[in-house]
This record gives sequence, C-alpha cells and structure tokens, in this order.
Amino acid sequence: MTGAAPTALPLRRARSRTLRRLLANPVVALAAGFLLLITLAAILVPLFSPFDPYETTLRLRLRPPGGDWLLGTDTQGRDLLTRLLYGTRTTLLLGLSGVAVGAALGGSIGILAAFYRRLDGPLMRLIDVFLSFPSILFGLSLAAVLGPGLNSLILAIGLSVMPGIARIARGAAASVMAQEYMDGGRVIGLPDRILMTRYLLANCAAPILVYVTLAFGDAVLLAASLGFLGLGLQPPTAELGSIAAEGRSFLFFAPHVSTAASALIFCIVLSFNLLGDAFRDAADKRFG
Amino acid sequence: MSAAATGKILRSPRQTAGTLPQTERAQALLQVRGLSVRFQTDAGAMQAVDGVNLDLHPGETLAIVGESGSGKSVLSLALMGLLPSIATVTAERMQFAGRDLRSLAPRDWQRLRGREMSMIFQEPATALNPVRSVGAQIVEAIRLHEKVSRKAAWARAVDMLRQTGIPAPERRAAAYPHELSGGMRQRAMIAMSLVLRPSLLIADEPTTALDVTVQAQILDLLRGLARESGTAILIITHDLGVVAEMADRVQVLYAGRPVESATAEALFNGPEHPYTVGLLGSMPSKGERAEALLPIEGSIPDLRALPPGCHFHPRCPFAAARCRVERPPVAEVRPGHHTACWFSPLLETLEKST
Repeated sequence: MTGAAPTALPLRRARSRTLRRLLANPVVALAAGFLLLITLAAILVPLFSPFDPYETTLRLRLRPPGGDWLLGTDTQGRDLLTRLLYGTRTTLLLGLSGVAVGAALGGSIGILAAFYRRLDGPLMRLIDVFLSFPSILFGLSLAAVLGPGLNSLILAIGLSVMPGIARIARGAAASVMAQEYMDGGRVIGLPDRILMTRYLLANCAAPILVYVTLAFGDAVLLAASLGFLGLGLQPPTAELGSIAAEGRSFLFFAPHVSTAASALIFCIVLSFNLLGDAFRDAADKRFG
Repeated sequence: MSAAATGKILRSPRQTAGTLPQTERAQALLQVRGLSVRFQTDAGAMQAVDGVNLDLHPGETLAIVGESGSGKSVLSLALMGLLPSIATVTAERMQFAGRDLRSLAPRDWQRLRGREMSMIFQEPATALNPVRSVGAQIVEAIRLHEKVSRKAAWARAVDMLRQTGIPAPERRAAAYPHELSGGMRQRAMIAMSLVLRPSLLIADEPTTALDVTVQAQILDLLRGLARESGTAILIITHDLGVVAEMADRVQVLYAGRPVESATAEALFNGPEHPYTVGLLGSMPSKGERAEALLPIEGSIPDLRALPPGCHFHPRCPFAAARCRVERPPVAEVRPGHHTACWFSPLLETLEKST
C-alpha cells in the first residue's frame, strides 16, 4: 500500500499554483485585469451608459473630452466612450468567433495531418500556401470576395488565423502520436474517431490553447484593421477600427476620436499578446 | 567451455502439457508461417523480421526471446496489425481463430482487438492515456465491444482491478495514471487488456520497466488471470528468467530470424543454437557464485547490412568456413525442437570433433 490518496487533487492544486504564479507577475496581472475590465464594460455598457450609441446629434459633434462626455463626442455627435465600448463588443466578438472558427478548422487539419500520415503532405502544403500570404492581405481579399456581413467577416478572420493554429496542432499532435498510449488505445480496439479525440486531441490541447490565446490578439487586430479599411461591418454599427477611421479626417482639430479608438485597440491587442506569452512560458515549464 | 555452461539451469521450467508435439494438438489459435516485415527507410530497405513461424494453442504460453533489436516488438506489432504504413508485412499464412489476418479490413481489426486479442506494453507509464482515469479507460474498452450500461461497465472495471490485486480498487479506478505507481499502472494495463477475456494476450516485455520485487508479482498475476480465462499468452522478453517462469514453448530470434524453437524445458536443458547457448551463459545464476558469466561477444548486426551466411557467425565461437557463406536452414533436431545451425545437433557434433 503506497498510501497516496488516489484523487485528482495534486493536479488541481498544481493548476491553481500555476495560475497564482502567473498572476504574481505584475505585467500579466495588469493585462488580465484590463481585459477583464474592458470585457465586462463592453458587455454591461447598455446598463450604465445614459447615451444611445446610434442616435446622431450633429449639433454636438466632435466635442472634446470632459464635461458631459467623458471622452468627448464623435463625428456624429454620439458619446465616444459609449461608442467605443459598443465597438469593443463588436471587435471582441469578431475576434472570438474568428479564432473559434480558425481553431476548429486549424485544429482539425493539424490533428488529421498527424493522425493519417498520408494526409500530412497534402494538408500541410495547403497550409503553407495559406501561410505565404500576409494575414492582413489575406483577410482583406477574403472579406472583399465574400462580401460584407458578419459571417463572411468571421470566416475571413478564421481563415487568416487557421494556418498558424494548424501548424502548432500538427506539431503537438505528431509528438503525441509517437506516444505508446496511442497504440495502447488501438490494442483495445478503439476506432480512429475516439483515438483522434479522447486520445490525440485531449493530450495536445494545452499547447494548442496556448497558441490560440496568442492568435486572439492577431484576430482582434485583423478585425479592427478590416473595419478601419472599410471592409468590416457597415455603419452605423460601432466597431473600433471603423471609429478610428471615422476620426481620421478630423485628426488635427479633434484628435480624441482616432486616438482613443487606436489606444483601445492597442491596449487590447497588447494585453492578449502579453497574456499569451505568459501562458506559453508557463506551459513550457509544465509540459516542456 | 560454452557447451559446458549449457548444463546449468537456474530454475526448472514449468511442467505443463505444452510438451506434446504440435502436430498432435488441436486447432491452433494462432498459426503463422513465413512472416516477414520489411521497412522502407531513407537508408534503404530493412528486413526487421524474416521467416518467422509461430504456433500458439489456446491457453498456452509462448515466449519470443532475443536481444534488443532482434525484431521482437516489430513481430508483436505485426500480429496486432499496428505497424505503420512504411512497413510491409508478408506471410504465407497468418491465421488467428480461424481468420486470415493478412486480409483483415480496418473495421474487422478493431472488432478483433481488445475483444479477442489484446496487448500490454513494456512501459505502463506511457501506455495509458494520461488524461483519462484508468477506470474510464477500462470502461471504454468494455463499452466498445459490449452493449452494457456505463454503470455496469464501471462495476466490471472495478472488479477487474480488484482481480489484479490493486488495493482499494473503487478509489483507484478514479485515479489518473500519473497518480499510480509503476506496478499498479501495469496492473491497470493488465486489467484493461484482460477485462474482455481475449483468447490471445501479447505481452511485450511486461516486466522490464518494473521493480524486481514487483516483476514476480506481475508474472504471477498474468499467469493466474490467463489460466482462469483460458487466454493464450505470447510473451516477448529478453529475460530468460521470465521465460523459465512463464513459457511452455520458446522461440529464439536473432536479428529478426528464428534461430531456435523448442519447449521451454528442452531449451533450458539442451539448447541447440550457439546463440541460445550464449544467452543462457550470460545469465547470472544463484548458487554458483564463482562461475564467471559468459557474455556473447559483439552486438547485434545492423539489419540493413547483415553479414552473409549465418547472421550469427561473427559472434559465434564455433563459426566455421561454411557459416560465413551459407545460411543454415531451420531443421528439426528432435521432435518439436527446431534450430538453424550447421552444427546441430550441437553436442554430438562437438563431441565428434574433439
């Protein structure tokens, strides 16, 4: 009798310890705190903002920050803070859905390529083709081809982040394929479907998820860029990139519009990248 | 000198019905003739297994013996249909329980594995899925082949774990592999592979990664459970102690080629092939402290560049001119005792020459 209680406790404890160590880093804590705050604000904005995000009052346009409007008003006389928070909603949603699509596609391709060796060559060469386009150019042409609209935008963002995720997934899955438990699953007669999900995917989910966090920053940036270039959702929908673009013509006498929107995009993307890096470092320590 | 070493035996092999000549036996469970496995590598083709014949009867234990690199594990993977696509498997005959393994569709393989043939691996730490509890893995195996409720399958999994001697099986079933000790993991692995009472269990070095004190327990367990369910065991090992403990019949492989096959008793009492003699001589024995070990000189050859003639001749103390050019065929020295050596029967030949 070895005495150790056979519970999952040690693992859970290790997990919360990893989390605590991550948050002990002030930069990570700041990034996580900012993302949490901005996400909550974006979700809850209809509850606390007294302003309508769509009603235009031309008389009140381009008011500087301060007074009744914390961040001033935009080119149509709408409260900029309210617009920005609604815009954050859209941009985060686009990024999240885009990454979800990209992770589903890329993850499947990577897993399939690692599991069926004869698919490896064709699938990965296809991914190489995708990778050879700069993602902004790729997203731009896709958005143009697919036309405007939420779904085509999500698909464009998804396809842009997909190749990176596919490569990471394939690499992680290939190393799991070499593990004996893959054969261990086969000898009890498991079909490929279960081997690919409960064995392969379950064991390489961690590195894939870490990469997905990093890809999230890219996706948000891409969503904002497409909005800025006018290929995003059409006005009057608030979107961070398009708000930044709207303010561009008035940059000299009302710089707050573009500046606030750009600063917000910058902070969100930076936070995601910092967080992703921290996750990767933590994962390297645990899995490496 | 080497020949003299053959007389000393560590433990007498287990006495069983396995001494009958195979031709008089009932229908074999597994019958393999001329099994060859060739790997296509960047550095050229590699013949990992060449011309292996196997006969395994229900309830019998056959040991495959050889050094590392002698193709033992490749052979077991070939029998389970688990070799990667770069391997080409050919055989004149590959029958298992009335089925031809050579022409089995993937679906049929899946139905066969787990229920009729199963396998345990050398390293229980890596052979269990780390992200699922051992109970869940056993349940998976049961529910894959039998239509039973999750609850009933769980009860059976716990029961099977209990049979393998794991203490507090109800709690251990919920444990993840990393929470168990090596011996317990191997017990869990055995539980998983025997829960459906397959007719064949392939055990690839089942005790190599384990503590010596645990080894004997695991072997006892395997033997006990197999006898109970009538499971035939194909045990792959380099440890002649394990062979003495477990096997009815032994097949010795050298560089992927069969060099000797006999009952365990005959092999320990009168090994015919110089390689077998060497294996026995390089084994420490109790009681004869002063006796020096007789290692086999050199190491196993590169399978891509095998020496001509008898593949063992560069390391063989008896090697003659003929051995360097002509490969000896497998011949029957005594009923049920086959060997591939120009000098067989070894003792008589040596006596004649001195």
